[in-house]
Amino acid sequence: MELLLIQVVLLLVLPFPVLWIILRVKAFWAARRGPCFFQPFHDIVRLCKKGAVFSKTTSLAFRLMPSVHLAALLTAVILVPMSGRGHIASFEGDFVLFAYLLAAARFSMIAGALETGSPFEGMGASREAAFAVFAEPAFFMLAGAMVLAGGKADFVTMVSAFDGRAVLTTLAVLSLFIMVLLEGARIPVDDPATHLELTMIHEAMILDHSGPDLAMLQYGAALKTVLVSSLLVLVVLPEQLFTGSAGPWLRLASTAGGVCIVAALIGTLESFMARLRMTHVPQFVLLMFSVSLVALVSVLLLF
Amino acid sequence: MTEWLVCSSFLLVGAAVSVPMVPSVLRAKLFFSLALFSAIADSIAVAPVFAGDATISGQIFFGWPLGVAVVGVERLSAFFLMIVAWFGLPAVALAGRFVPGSSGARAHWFFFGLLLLSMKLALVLDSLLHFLVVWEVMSLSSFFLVLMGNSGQQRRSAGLHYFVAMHVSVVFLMLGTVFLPEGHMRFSMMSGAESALASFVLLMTGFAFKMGLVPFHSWIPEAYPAAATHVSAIMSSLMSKLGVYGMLRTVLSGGFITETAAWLVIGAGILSAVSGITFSVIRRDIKEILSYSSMENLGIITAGIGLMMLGSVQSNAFMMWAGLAAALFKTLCHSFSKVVLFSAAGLVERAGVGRDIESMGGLSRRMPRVSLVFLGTAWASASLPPFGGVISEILLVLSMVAGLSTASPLATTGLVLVLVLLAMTGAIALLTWTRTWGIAFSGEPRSLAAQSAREGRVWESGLLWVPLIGLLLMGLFPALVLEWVSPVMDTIAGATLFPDASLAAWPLVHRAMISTLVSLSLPIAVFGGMVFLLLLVRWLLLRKREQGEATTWSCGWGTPDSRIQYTASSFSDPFVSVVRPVLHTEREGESVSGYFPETAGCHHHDDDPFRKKIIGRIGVFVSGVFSRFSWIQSGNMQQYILYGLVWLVAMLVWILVVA
Amino acid sequence: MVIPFLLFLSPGLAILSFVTRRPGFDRWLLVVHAVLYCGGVAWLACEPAAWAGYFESDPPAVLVLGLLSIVYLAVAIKRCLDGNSVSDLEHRVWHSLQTASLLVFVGAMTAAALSNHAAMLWVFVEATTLASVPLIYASRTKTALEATWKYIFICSIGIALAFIGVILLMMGMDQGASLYFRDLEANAGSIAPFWLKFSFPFILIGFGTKAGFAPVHAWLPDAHSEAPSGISALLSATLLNTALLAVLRFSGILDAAGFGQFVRDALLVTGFLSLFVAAVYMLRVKNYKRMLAYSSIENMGIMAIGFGLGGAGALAAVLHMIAHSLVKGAFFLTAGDILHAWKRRDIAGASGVLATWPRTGWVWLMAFIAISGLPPFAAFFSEIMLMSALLEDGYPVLLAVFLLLLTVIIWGMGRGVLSVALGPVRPDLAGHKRSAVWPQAALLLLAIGIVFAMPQPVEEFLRDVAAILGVQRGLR
Repeated sequence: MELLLIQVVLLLVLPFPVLWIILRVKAFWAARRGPCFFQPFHDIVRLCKKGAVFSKTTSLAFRLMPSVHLAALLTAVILVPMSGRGHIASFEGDFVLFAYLLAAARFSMIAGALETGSPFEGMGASREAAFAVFAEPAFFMLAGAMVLAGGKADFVTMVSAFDGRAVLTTLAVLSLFIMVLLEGARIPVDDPATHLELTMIHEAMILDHSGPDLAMLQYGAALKTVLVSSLLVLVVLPEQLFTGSAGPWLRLASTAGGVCIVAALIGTLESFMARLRMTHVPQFVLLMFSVSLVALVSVLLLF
Repeated sequence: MTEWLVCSSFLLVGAAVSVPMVPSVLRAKLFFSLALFSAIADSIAVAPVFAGDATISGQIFFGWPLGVAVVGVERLSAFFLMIVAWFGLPAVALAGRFVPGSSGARAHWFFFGLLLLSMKLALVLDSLLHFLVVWEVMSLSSFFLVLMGNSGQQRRSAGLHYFVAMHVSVVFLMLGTVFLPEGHMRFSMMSGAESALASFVLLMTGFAFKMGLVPFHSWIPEAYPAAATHVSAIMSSLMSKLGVYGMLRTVLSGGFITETAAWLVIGAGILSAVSGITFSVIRRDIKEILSYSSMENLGIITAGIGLMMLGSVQSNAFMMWAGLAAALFKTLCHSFSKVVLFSAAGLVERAGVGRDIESMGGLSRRMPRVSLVFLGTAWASASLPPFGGVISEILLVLSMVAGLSTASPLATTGLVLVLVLLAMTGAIALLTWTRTWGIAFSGEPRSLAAQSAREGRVWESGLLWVPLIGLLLMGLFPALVLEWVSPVMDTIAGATLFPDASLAAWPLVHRAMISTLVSLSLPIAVFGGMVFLLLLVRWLLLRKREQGEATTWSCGWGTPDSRIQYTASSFSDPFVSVVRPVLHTEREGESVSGYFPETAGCHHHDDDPFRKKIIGRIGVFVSGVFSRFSWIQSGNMQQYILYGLVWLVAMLVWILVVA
Repeated sequence: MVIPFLLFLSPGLAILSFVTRRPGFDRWLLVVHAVLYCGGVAWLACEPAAWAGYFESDPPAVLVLGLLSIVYLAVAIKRCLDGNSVSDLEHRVWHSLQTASLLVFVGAMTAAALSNHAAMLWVFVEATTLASVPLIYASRTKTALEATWKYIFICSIGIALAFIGVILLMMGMDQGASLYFRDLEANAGSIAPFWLKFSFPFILIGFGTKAGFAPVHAWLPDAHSEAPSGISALLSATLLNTALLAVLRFSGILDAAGFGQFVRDALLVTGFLSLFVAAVYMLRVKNYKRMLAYSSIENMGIMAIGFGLGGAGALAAVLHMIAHSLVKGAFFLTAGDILHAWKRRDIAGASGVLATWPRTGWVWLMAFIAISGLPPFAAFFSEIMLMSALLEDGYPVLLAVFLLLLTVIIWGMGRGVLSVALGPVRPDLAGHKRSAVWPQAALLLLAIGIVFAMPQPVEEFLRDVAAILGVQRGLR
């Protein structure tokens, strides 16, 4: 029970350090000092304390959507088994619900963006929806491969399905890492630091949000990064390392650590890579598709 | 029980006959009350069928050539009867708002009554010939309703297209019937016949037409939009379900479920799902979008049926249970959601905005109630939690996962492929629903009509909340729904699951699956609760703060207007440009050249390749072949006499040679 | 007694009509005649009769006459309801001539149906041609003249061939042998097989010309298009049946002689050829009355296939004959109303009927549904029975061809029918006097009622007809 609670709390808290690590790593590579540890937290709190300005074009839906967005992601929190054991909601097919919760978050984001009638937000929304069309089958393909290898369709079995098979694990990690970048709206898919609306995806869609709504969206984006990268880390760390009664706790801690490493990776990547040209992003997403496909085919051949 | 069924039928007959005769102000109310009473009577009639092992059976004696009509209501019929009786009621209640102008109104009400009646009768008849008669009456009444829809010239071509499709479909059904020997022409007796496999294939094809599965869907995006809104709603949410009923009934008759057949059904289903939703992304008529989405949903239902069949072939009770549950669950969900979506689109159309989503926009401020219910249902239609759609997707995945354990390597590959296509369908559905909602309802008005659109009465859109709440409850309590449906599933399992060992495992499977669904309720409830919690927090945070209004940020533009907004085509372009090679695209105008082009214009139109390429080409081909022979009729008398002579000589030669 | 009554009633009243020359009177005269005629046929149906050696009622004759009387009654009532006043003398004479010809035409068909003698049958079939000539030339226009000329010319050639056929048949027989059908069938075995078989193509093409079989159907679209619609209704719904009856009476002889397979093949080929020709033209037809004429060719083809199959197929064909006669009668009468008001024969010109005249439009649409073979109309049942028969007799390929051609025909016809019903509305017709629709509606209702409430005796009667007319598959 405590394990579950701590798991939830950890997932809820992790977005702040993750954001901080990314900023710090980027600052390090740029030879700057970077913000203090609590800066991301302060940012969110600051937004929560503010009032809000709404566009005259928008209606009730615009005000609802950020809350729905965050609610979907918070629900996903109880599905991701960071400790490698069952979570609050672990059942056959939970990965489907996870994917659909991410989709729900996406829907609310897009719907909110289109509410404003802004061409930039329409542009971002359009890209977000289109990339998902390729990313989602890729995720399911990977999931299919894991189910095929593990024999069961819940996250707990799936994440350890590739244990001991380095090639498969690498493929899965590669595919999931692209998913992290895509879902978290990170370089090379999207540039959170850009100031040019025409090149934005996620940032374009939140242009007109303010106050607590913006806070929810910002926090949600970070949470999404944490959720997907937790899965990534769970796939990397083999189950055999964490036996015994302290195993789950150990695994929980190491997953959290792993998520921080992923964050550092993201920061490094962002420092050394430019955002892809918008026309090349679909190809990048298709890379995830092909990696998953290779994983699936190898599983089909192996098992 | 039987008397209640008779009573319900007579109420609908009464509706069809009496409603056209009463003054026009009373018609809608009278019709609705009769339909409501008929639904109540139906429920009383089939309750015992559902509760126990009772079946309603009876015979109606006709002379030759009709013969004896056999009535047989068992659980499957009862399940669909309940859908037909209740789920269409919101559309029936709104019918008064959508019946086209005075000239055809009487006939319209008559055929609407006939449509509802024939749908019910089709569900209670066991003998195939009579089923076919009623089935055709159903198709015909909907055909006339399409002809009397309110959309000018479109209805003529739509009507013709529908008529021909309907005819081809009934030809398949007729063939399926005549392939059966005398005495086996009943749903419940098909299995014993030797030619059952041929019948099976033919009947399934016939039903696929009604469901609009690829490649038999071409009439759907023409006929649904051409009909008046309440008719489109009924056709999409109920009439197409009769195709599902027919398929299930055919499968239920058992005996010839093979692996090939199962894969054919799965393939037809998943391909319909993917292509239906892809085509919905390229259309801009809101009713066409809804029609294609209907095709997608029926595809998913079909895939569920196919998985069930595969499970039955492999004696895999888990797979079968989940596939069947997914199909039935999706049937319920789709019946709920399409009524709302079509009705909401109809209310928008009635507000003078039309059906082209590129000339809507800004409705979420001008028609807030309709917009909100549309948003909710669009959300549900994209199979997102907390509504019911996601449950059927999960069940489908569970069915496939269960199938992996018993499938051959080839079948495993197939199942994973279906899984991927299903995911793709879901993602495209998200694209199409955000596009439809976002372009049609939000943003700035894209036309003067949208600018001045006003909402109708509260009850009109208020009524539509009922199915939406139904969808929410289905999402929250899937286990309850499936417990309710379980008699139907038991019947199907009893008829198609072999050997006895796997049938004996069925109750265990049932319990295991139900417990999975119960645990599924938790996260969905958490999601719902979380939304309220966050809204509360947000309200608390904003309560004392300043809230302002401003124009949308537009990077230097003063006020955003509709001309700089993203359009529906531009919204879907990143996706459509990838799939364009498989679409039918018409392009007009030249590309821009030079630094200062004088004139430039480009018109781009994407369309359904099946409709334009295949069906269009079949039409052209057939006309071409037959017009090759147009020389027969030259108007030249000598030539005609010559035919007679040639014919005579040919016959004489025939006699001399053969005899 | 009833046979002479039926035979002489028509010419008698024809003389009366020609003497009085009063159109108003003529209209009622026709109705009275039709009612009396119906009564006579009903009597005949209850009590088989024979008269003067050459006329005898058997079930097929009663069926053909029954259909004739029903459609004729509807036509007469329709004429009476919609009659236009004719004032000048010339028109009055012409009008009386029309009425008289119509009566003689009906009389000739009656005689042809009742003839039990090969030569008499030939004589009266020829008489129907002659009697109907003035009817087709009714509008006295250039095109009507052309149609009439084609009609006489082609039908005369046909009837001449039929005559040759009868002579060839006689050549195979002993000198002075009887030409009564019952004797012919009884002695079929003793007819020289060569001459028997040799005569059949002549008979089939000869009488088939009148029955509208392809490829000798050429008169049919023109004549149906030019004749007044009541006459087209009678031509299509009754004359074709009578001619078909003639063909089948002769084919019965071959069947009895053991050449059933040959007759069946010939009828199947003819039937499919007719379907094909109808399909070719249904896709290009511009004139809605011609469209209905092609549909008649199609339906005669279906009947030929059914009778050729024999057994269940023949029963289907009998039912189809009933369905086609009733529905086509209604269809032509409705087409006549449209032509009368719109003054256009082309599909593009006569449009928007449903909006201008809803009732006429509905009957028009319903007639289309009925002729397309959709339930609840009788043609659905005949077609499904025919499909079943084709399958049972081992012709799955023909079944597929049959369905394909039928679908093409329905497509082509649907295009025309829907365009007439729903095309652009002509505003100038809003105030035009509406024509009565209930005679046609009654025919259509009958086409539904016949399947839902078929009395037991009628069913047995139809089975008798099928047993007599269908090819028995007697193989030597």
